[in-house]
Amino acid sequence: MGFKKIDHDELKTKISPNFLGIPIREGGKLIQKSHREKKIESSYTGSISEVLILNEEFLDFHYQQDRERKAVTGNGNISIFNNSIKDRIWDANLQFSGSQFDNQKTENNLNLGIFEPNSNKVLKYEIVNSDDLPDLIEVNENIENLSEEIKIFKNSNEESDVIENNPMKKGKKKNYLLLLGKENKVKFSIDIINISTSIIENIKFKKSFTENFYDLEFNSNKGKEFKVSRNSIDCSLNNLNPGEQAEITILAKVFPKKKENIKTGNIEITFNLSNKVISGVKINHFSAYSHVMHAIKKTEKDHAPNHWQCSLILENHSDFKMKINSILVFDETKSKKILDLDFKTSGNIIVNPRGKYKTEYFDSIDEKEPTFSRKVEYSVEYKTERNSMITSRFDDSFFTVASIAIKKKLSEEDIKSFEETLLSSKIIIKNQGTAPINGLQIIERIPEDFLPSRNISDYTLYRSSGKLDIQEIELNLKPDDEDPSHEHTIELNINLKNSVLKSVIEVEDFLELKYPLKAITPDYKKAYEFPLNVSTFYPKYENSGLKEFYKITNKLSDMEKSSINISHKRRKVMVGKQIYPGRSANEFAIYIVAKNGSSMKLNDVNITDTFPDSFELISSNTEHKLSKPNKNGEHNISFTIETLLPYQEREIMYYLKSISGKDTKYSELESFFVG
Amino acid sequence: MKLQYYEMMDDKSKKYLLYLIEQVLPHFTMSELQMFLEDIAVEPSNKKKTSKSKSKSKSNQGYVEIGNDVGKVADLSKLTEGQLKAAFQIFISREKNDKLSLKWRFYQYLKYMLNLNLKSIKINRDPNPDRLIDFIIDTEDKEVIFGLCYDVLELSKYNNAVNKMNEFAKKQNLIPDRIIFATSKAFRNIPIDEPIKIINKELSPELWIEWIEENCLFNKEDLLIVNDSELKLAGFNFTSIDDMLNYVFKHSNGGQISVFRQIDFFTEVNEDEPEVELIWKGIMLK
Repeated sequence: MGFKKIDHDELKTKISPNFLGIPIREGGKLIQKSHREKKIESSYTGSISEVLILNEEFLDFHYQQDRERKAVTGNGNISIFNNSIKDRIWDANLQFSGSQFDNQKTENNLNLGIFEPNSNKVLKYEIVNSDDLPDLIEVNENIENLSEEIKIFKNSNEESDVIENNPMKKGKKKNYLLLLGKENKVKFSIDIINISTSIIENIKFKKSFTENFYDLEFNSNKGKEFKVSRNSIDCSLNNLNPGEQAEITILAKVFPKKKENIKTGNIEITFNLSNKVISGVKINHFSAYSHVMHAIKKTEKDHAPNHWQCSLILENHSDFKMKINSILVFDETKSKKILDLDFKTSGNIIVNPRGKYKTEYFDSIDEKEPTFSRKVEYSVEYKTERNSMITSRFDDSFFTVASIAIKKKLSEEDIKSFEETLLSSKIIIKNQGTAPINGLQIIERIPEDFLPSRNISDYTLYRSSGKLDIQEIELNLKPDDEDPSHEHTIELNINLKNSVLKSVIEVEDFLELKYPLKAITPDYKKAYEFPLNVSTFYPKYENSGLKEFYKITNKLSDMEKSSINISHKRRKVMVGKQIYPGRSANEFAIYIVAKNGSSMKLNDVNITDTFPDSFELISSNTEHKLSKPNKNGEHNISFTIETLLPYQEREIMYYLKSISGKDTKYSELESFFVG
Repeated sequence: MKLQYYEMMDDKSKKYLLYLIEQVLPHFTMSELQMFLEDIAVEPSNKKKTSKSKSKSKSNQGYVEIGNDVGKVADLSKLTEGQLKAAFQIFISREKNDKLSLKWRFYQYLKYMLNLNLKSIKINRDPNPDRLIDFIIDTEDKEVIFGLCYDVLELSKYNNAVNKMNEFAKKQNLIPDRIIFATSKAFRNIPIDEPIKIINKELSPELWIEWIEENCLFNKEDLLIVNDSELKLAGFNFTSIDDMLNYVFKHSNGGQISVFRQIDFFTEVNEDEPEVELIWKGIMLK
């Protein structure tokens, strides 16, 4: 009816059906390691038992996204197992060295007392000075956006389709781009290099992915089986010899819908270094006793009375292999050394379980049975195993998303054919991504019959913070002439040559470009288009001084494309006059009609009529100007029509009455009409 | 594993059950058996009556000294089949894990528990369910230990027990030196690292779990032979090798000790050459 007193730690952490609830973990690791029992079983073979000293270390290397080491933490255990199912060991003594103990006494010689059968004791230690520990693996991750719209631009004006496959080097932080609102195919090339001097085993690779990624494909030269879970991709890799490299390629698709950065996914690699601890702890010696019987066998010689033939025997009654270190036999008074066997230098003697060791015979002459003083040094044999379980965690970076909106407007939508017209062109570029735009290239094709300005000071650029310094703008006009018979290309490079500006367009900001454009002899039979390409440049590396950029070229969409209508405008106008008699004979109504028979707008149409001084003006439906009678006795009445739209007709009516007493003739009103 | 459950036994005869119960260690004294039978009695009225009569004669109201008739080994032959069955389920198969069963197994353990210089054990015979202290143990070192038994110890029961112990201590003017919570299972949130305050005294509670060793070197059905038949013990009495060694330490002469197991002794028909194997050897210095 056994009961066991339980301490608080056991209650919290031990796995047992007696405890209800989830064991509480410490530092991510279970304090109790249930696999230990298996270890004992596996090393137990038949009736031979062994003492196993297992030195295990658990290290956690943490690296930043630029692969600089951030922190290393670790701890270790020295576990001593007595895996005999029946034999105890006692006076167990462990000598170890290494400067990594900070929770043990400074002495490195520990007396561990008695071990019951099938039991173990564990010494725990923290690994200090972990900064001095060497890196064991190097992980380089190169991320490429395979979208054709993204190219690499170097300051030498070279442009390449293929993004160079230079993996991330330490201290060099790379920027990553995705195109907003488009499917991006991204390639992750990850190299894991064993830079230790040992074979690394049981490698587990894990890369996190957010839910934005889909259609994941995996390939590696060191592992085929991979598992894609909701947030990660996992794979076991084959062992890596020192200097050997595992290459992993992951292809994934991502469709950024929102204007927000997307994580590239951190990497976690766990592996074992078998038979090695990296902190420098060494197990120097272990000794313990178990069941051994030693005796001196004394036989009086058959033909020589009082002459004794003696030998020391040692019987191993335990299941352990027993190692004899030394045997010292003196006479009874310890004055004479009879046997001095030191096996430490000449090679230890191992006595197998239930085996026996017997020394060479030595003679003694004594009337009685001789007695001796003896000392035998022996210990159970032990096996040492070392193992390091390493976790290397690499922080992730993030993809920024790139997107711009372009708008273009000409000051006139409709100009006259075969006439010189001065136009103004306005382009607005808005940054709709999450990364500032570092440089811009605006290329506009100006068709023949038009001429752009060749003077850079005519080009003005505004941002929300004000006008952009002309120093940052480079104008290339191709060909650089004033011949309107062929097309010209305007190329404006902004902040590309010297990259003095931190950015050209910040996030959410815009850039407005204005410049004059002359229509020289536009032909109404031609259709003119002004195609516009805007390339945005984003730095590939952060603060590295390298002038390499991602270049994304955006075309002005057909919907937004500016075009100009050339109207072949010729005037056609008709002004008519009609006279109507009034109710009485001395009253008349004068009706004037102005008709615009052309397709163009007519401005300031002036109409002047005359009537004799025998008439006076009663009223008019249109504003007029009346002059005094001239020497011919005629009044002038003038009307101005400000605008006559194409095919518009305007009517003017005014009323006259003859001055009383005077006869009036209709013919007198058919005067000279100017209009 | 034939002694695992009563219902799985091939032979449920009274004779066989009696034979097994006679192997239960430590042996019951007459007074122990009487109280055990009262506890497992089906009729509660009987129990109440007997308890009341006993309680009058002892110092702490409701507590009766038990086991003070050492040497008077109980006669088990008069046990009924029902009583034998209950005893089997509590002490041999241990399939019963209620508070009562655990209480009696804990009592048996107290009798050979090391590091406890027993003077007397008083058992609770008060029918009041609020009386949670099952045993009051006095040691030769003049320590007073409260023993509380549970089938499953959960936090509310634990907190309640602390309150009841305080009430009891005030009423009886008895402050313990140690408190043992004995249980079959315990929730992990029992705050045994926090001292318990009984009146003005702070005590560290002790949690004793009925510990059944996995991969134990012997089975319930085995006969354990110490040295050259110095002791013969039924395997079902012990739940771990340490448990068995505690008993051997207390009831042997010490010195060089070898423990052998005769496999399935209590369940198999005798063979000509019984299978015996050494499971432990060492020295016990007394």
